[in-house]
Amino acid sequence: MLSIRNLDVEFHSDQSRVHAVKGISYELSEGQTLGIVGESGSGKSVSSLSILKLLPSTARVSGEVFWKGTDLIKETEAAMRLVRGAQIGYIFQNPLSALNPVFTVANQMVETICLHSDATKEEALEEAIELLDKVKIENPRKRIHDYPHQFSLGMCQRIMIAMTLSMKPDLLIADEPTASLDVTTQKEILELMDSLKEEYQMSMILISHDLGVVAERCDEVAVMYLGEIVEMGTPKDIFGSPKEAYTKILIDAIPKIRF
Amino acid sequence: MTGKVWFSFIYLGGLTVLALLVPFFNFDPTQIDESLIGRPQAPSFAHWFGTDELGRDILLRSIYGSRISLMVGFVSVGISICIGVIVGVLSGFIGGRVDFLVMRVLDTLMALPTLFLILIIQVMLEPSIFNVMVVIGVTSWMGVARLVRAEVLSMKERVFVTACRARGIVERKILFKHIVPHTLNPIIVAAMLGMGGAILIESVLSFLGLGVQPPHASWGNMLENSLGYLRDAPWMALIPGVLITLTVLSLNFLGDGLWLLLDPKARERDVIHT
Repeated sequence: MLSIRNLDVEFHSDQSRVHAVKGISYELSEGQTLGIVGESGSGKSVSSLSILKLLPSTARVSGEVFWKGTDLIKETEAAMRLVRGAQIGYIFQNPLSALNPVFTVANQMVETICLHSDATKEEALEEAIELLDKVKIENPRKRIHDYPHQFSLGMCQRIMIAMTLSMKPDLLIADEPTASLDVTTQKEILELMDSLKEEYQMSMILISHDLGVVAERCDEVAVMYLGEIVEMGTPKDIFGSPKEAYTKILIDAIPKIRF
Repeated sequence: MTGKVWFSFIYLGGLTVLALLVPFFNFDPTQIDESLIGRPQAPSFAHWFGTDELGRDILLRSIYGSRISLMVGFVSVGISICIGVIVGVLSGFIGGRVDFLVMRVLDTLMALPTLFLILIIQVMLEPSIFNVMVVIGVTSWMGVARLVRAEVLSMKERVFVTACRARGIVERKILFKHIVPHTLNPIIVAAMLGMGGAILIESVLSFLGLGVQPPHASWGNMLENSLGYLRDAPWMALIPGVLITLTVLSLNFLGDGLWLLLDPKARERDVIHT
């Protein structure tokens, strides 16, 4: 379904150039979950943002991103708008900063739903309330009219998930969806995403620096280091018999509890 | 909120109410008392602020003068904000070479001395209050444009804008619905400060005889009239002078107060300083 070949991203500024992603390739078939792990700055987010062409104008992107048979790199902005959200959903790391602080949740969800369907505002509001209920926000009929800052971070991430699901994407890119949350909330959000992935039959790219998160729920794992995929395989291969030195370091870095 | 902000708020509110209501009463600010020509009367119960050289009531003329000042403030700031917001928003959002070019044009325009430009236009055209408002508006939008541009530049890098794009929202809607409301705070503050400046320029022009023409009253031409009577009737100069000072200062205080109220970061800085 998604096939990335030689994706290369370079950032240019007056003084310097940064080679953030160095010709990576991977494939993702329908219903699969791909995990991308690596340290900060290894190019996980940049490579994913470039699938949707959401990088700033200083980025030079080359390579091929085949999505359902078309190369997204060559697509126009207008065509990309039909892919963004409706076909590929993106969930950001910090949910609070991904919501506009000056509008209520209802306002932003209704806007999103109306954009991708012919629903009237009333219908869209009803749908939004149902979705909030589905992501387990308590008392959604009342809370939907609150502003983002009135929710906790975990709840904001639930709202972002609900908003992304309202567009019924075929592929969900989750960019460290739980990195800014505490451990218990993290678990709840991940379980929620697992069940919703099942229900909506989506494929998923899960970006994380937490190997435990990735190991449990991915069909395949890619390890990124300095803009390259250094190792790729099933979680069993990667964690059972890591070949690359960097993968071993990553696995060693998982905190172990000893008594 | 400090005392001076409250004072400014009440003072400007009172002035606005008086200015709006005075035409509904049957007072004529141009009515001449022939028995008093050439003999300005000091403030008394009959004339609270005294009379001028033609026996006209200064209180009434002051209130009519405030109508001119406030109108000039509102209209010219309205014009300058309209132009400034449009230029600033587009320049900041489009960015790149367009932004660079617009900013250099702004620098050039900012280098022009506003007052002299207005003087030239008023001399060439018939002096009228309409010209004053338009010219002040058209020559003072650059500051607003800069403020708005800076805000748009910082806002368009925020994650929620990328998140909007990731949901497939059209650029135009991202700009006008999601970015522009964030520029409101600096606009409100700039409007307050701009009104003070506009009122001052109008007074200067009227003082020089290039603004509001006699017999109509404006604080500037009341000051000019008082010149020949400075020793015998100082209240003729003091009253419009104090009014101009208070009004401009109040607008500045109110602008500062609103800035502190609207910008939480500014409030923190203020706490540290005091």
